[in-house]
Amino acid sequence: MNQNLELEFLSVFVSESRELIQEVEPQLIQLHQSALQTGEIDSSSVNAIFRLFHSMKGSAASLGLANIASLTHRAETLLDLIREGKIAVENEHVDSLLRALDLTGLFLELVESNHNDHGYDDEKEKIETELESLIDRAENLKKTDKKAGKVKKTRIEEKPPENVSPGKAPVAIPAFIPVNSADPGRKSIIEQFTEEGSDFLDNAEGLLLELEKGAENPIQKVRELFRGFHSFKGNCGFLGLEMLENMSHKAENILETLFDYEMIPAPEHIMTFLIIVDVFRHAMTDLATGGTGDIEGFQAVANLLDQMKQAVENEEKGHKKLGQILIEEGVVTQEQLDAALKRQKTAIGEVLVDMGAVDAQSVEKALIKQTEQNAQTSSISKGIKRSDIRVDLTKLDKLVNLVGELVIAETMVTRNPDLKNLALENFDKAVHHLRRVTSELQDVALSVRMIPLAMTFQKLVRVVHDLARKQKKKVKLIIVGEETEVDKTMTEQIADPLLHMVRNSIDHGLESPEERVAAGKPETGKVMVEARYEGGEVWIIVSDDGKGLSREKIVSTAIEKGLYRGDPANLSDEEAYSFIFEPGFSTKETVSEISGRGVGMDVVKKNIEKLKGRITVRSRPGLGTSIYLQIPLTLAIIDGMLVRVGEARYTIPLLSIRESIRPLKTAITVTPDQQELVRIREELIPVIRLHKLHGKTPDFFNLDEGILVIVEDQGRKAALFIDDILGQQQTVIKGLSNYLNQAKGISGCTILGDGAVSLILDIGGLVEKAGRADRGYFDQEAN
Amino acid sequence: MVESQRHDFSEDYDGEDDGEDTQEGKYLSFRIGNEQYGIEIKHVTEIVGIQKITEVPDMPEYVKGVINLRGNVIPVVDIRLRFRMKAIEYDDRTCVIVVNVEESPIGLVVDAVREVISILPEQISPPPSVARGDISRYIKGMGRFENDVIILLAIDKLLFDQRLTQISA
Repeated sequence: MNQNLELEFLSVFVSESRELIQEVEPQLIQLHQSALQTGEIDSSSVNAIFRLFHSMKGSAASLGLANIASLTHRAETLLDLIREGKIAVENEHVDSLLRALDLTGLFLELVESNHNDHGYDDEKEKIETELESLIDRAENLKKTDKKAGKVKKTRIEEKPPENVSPGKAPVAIPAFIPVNSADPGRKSIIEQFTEEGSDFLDNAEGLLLELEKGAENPIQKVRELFRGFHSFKGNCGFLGLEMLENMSHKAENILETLFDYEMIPAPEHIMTFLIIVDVFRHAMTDLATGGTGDIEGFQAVANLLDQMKQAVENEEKGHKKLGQILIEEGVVTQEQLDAALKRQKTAIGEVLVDMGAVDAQSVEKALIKQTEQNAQTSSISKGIKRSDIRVDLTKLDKLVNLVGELVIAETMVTRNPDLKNLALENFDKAVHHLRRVTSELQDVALSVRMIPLAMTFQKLVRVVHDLARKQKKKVKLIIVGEETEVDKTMTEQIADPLLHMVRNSIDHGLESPEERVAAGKPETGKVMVEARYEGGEVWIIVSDDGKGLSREKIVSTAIEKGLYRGDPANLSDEEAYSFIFEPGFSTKETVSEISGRGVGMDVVKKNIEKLKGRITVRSRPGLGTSIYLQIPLTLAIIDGMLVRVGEARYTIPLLSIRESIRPLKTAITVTPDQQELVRIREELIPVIRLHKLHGKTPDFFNLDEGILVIVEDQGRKAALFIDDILGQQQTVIKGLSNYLNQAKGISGCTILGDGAVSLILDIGGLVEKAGRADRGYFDQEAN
Repeated sequence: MVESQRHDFSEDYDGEDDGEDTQEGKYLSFRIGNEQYGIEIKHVTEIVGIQKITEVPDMPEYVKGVINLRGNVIPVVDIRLRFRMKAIEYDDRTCVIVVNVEESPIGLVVDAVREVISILPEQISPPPSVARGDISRYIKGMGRFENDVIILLAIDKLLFDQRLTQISA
């Protein structure tokens, strides 16, 4: 565990440092060049470079990477002198600093492979001496300057630093660089920082809420929080965001205390932390939109933090450090503890904490183990390498599309009609191999754009928490399937709809605790958010066990608003409920009456339509409401069954198929309105004659000659009448052109091995039609 | 109609790499029945022979279905039927002109493709005001080329005009 954690830290350190070096290297060169040309120093880049070394030094020291720490310390000192305008930038300085950067890079490699930075002693010695002498010279220069009262002229700087024109003067450097400075490097750093920061905040929020609920292993959570705040602080420091740095430092301190004494934060502390997370989030938004990240409310937060610190420290007195207990009980000696603590500082820590739970021998063993660590870790795989790159989404799209093409091309080759009836042993082997590689490639390519819904769902936790408090309702949020991965654009598009739906569930769906008790329901209402794959779609279901929708009120409002003219009796429940998604359907006076849904629900509809998804509402008075969002995966590869109706070949998603049968004549019943039903065991299932629906000429007209494929969607079944089953295959779903968007009962198409296009049947749509079959829907449709 | 001028575009499409500016005033002419039509070359991406069309249900009659164009599934529209002319059997002269309108590729089934011609703006007369039916609304102008008159189509209107879609649907 400890080892893994340490590896994790090291790997983060390595990848972050590499990125920093890459950012700063050009700046250093730029700095030098501009200094050569104009004789002035660009204060913002000096600051940035200085900060790089500063933050690397800090991280390296805390990770026990002494070489990196000492090297960066010297570079930092030199830069500090430049930064303060004590010395001018000279070739030598830049050269040494660049060499220092290079060497740091080498050290990082060592860290990556051996998990320590031992090596390159000669080089380190050399560069450090170099830097040292430069620093000495600068210091001396400073002194002489002071004594002589004048500034020695340098090669590139003609003016004494004191007189450097304001604007760019390094004399009075602002505490941080303005964020909106035109420096593109900085901008991208900010961008990344805000993105990472937001992620961290989401994560922190989740942890806090779990803690509040009384999660298992709370200490672990506190530690995670601590770690998060720690690295957040580091980033803030690097960017010179003093306020944020300060704030997170305070938060970190509190968490450290909590963690050290194994205390579980009190509910009011969690509340405070949640407030902090909010304030930070505002700051992130501010930064992202070009602000300075200084926002109102900081002072209040600072006060809160100070209070909390006080409170925590008071509590802490009641706790004893674990190490002290160990000593008191005589299981470890003071020396051992000191040694351990020292290790804890230099290496990763909490060895003692974790090991201490066992006995003294284990502690000692752990200490010995740690001393041997270097030898050991090098034998552990290089598993700490971590590399993220940011890629343009359009490039990914292209890749995904090409992979789709490849899958089709593969089928075209391997199922080529020319190969029929040939015995090709070697070819078949090669085909087998090819298929394995393409299918793996497919998985990888598709997964690249996919991200789990967890992040999107996590945001709801907070919404529910806040809203429940505000409304004085008791709400339990159940999240199911947050690991379901969907396309990135989808997570963006459904974030708002989810928010609105959950908000509506709590606001209008769930009753107050009193009402619930009166209705014989548990006091605490349930809101469930669920995601799962269903056929070629992702389903996101938001349901509650509230009072349900009132059909009459919705319909009457719809008529009142002129959305519906006609006999309300003709509307199915589903049609009636769908009015809640009409823009402007909900107005203040209707909101509370008709259990309100409609606030922002048009957003839900709009966004889901953008994703070519469907919305279904189901509601039962007194029992609750469920809203189903059924969204197709953008480009999915599904298993499909290829069936034939006359000349036409259709693909049916395998997931929707329950069984295929050839019915007996006796199993068929025809209703007076000519709807055929097939009886399978105890069920009567409506038959859909595909040939009729699509105007084809089939081989068979009698149901007992062809095949019935029983399909199911959302628990509703239908029997599709076809001539023949041709086989199963991997199917790359291609969307139908927008030009054809009226096509009903078709969800897309795919390209078959012989190059022909096969339509993929939209089982949901078909089953829905079948469900209305008793109204003679089919005959109208087919004729 | 000069038969020798007929060009097999599906063969030498790849060789055509006219720059944007040289496309001005150039039209691809094709034949439907006895008349010659033209569309601006800038809309045209390629010309392919007729191939197996997969029918799509619930479409207006002139939307014949979809074809597989090197892995892209594109809809095809029969211009003949679009103008409510009588359908004819497809033969080896029948071509699909692939155009790119409003970012989406669409195939146009025509009786035969002829050639790329240049028509100067002064050679184009406005569409006749007394043309029969709505069809004149999809005519950009009447081009005079050598001894022929070529009906220049406003392809975007032709494909995306909601009114006609509804009439035929």
